Amino acid sequence: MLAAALIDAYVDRLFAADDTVDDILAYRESVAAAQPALGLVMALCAGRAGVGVAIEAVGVPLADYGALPVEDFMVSLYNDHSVQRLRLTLPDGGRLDMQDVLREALAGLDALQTRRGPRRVRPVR
Amino acid sequence: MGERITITASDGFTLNAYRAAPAGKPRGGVVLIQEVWGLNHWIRQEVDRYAAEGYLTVAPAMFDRVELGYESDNYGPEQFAVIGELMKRFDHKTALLDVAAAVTPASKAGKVGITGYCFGGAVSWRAAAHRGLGLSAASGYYGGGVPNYIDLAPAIPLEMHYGDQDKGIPLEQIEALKARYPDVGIHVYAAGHGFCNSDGASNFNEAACSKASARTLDFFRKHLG
Repeated sequence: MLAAALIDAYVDRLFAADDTVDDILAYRESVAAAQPALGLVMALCAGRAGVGVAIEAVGVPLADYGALPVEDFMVSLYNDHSVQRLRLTLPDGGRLDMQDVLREALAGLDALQTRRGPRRVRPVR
Repeated sequence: MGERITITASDGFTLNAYRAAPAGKPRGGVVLIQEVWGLNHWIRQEVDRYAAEGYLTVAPAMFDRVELGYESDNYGPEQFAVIGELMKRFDHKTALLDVAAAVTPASKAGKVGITGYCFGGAVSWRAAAHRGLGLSAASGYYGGGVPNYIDLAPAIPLEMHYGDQDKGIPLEQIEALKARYPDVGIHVYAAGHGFCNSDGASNFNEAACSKASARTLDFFRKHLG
């Protein structure tokens, strides 16, 4: 959640640095549309209904064992061949791997910054 | 230097084992439980080490009921699926029969203790909670799957050794064990998982292992002789 909160807060910094926009809600909506992973992170931090985080046991097929880090290998041996994963829960009941979402959200921040050019941070209104 | 033997459990199953005897009069017996790689080089080396410390030591091949003769010195991910398959078929109930089968020859030397590493650490705890195996003390190392044995109250003197950087055994699980069993010596070292396996290399921590091993020997001297 801390990582998500920091990413969410950084979207506000990008808004603050952009002279071309005045409406933060509209800005955040446009960011969510352009970068879906960022949209998910913002929805999580906004407490949007049905969006949350959960730790779940995920079964590991034996065929995938060779790709496991040794810690996950060990955990899986003693937990009915499952490992613990942090998941983002969605309103439709779907699940996404939280680390993947955070990774994509960070890439989204990079993309937004690249598009804007060098940052000029103005005082927060 | 020890020898390979076979032992027979009470249900008639005959399994492999590795046995080493001290040069002089033994202080007692030790049953040593493997990691998930079977009676491989490092486990046999540990059996020899306990024998050098004065204990008649027997290590049963805990996976023989699943795959007779399985052992490996390959700690790489190529073995993970093999071991995963073995663990799918492994039965903790019959495991205690195999522990008891190893206690029999070890008991010729007097009181018997049990020790083990990772998988063997967890088996050590389970054995310590099971009356009637003929054990007098247990000292286990980084037994994985703490939630699977935290409800098993020890029936004999027991101590355990864990690494505080063990990513497979979270510190909160170790703290939960300490809180639940304040009379059990739960020792935590600045080390990762498998800190005593010098063949495995990646997490071997000589300082932590030396300290833990010295504690185990003190513990066994106190409770076994």
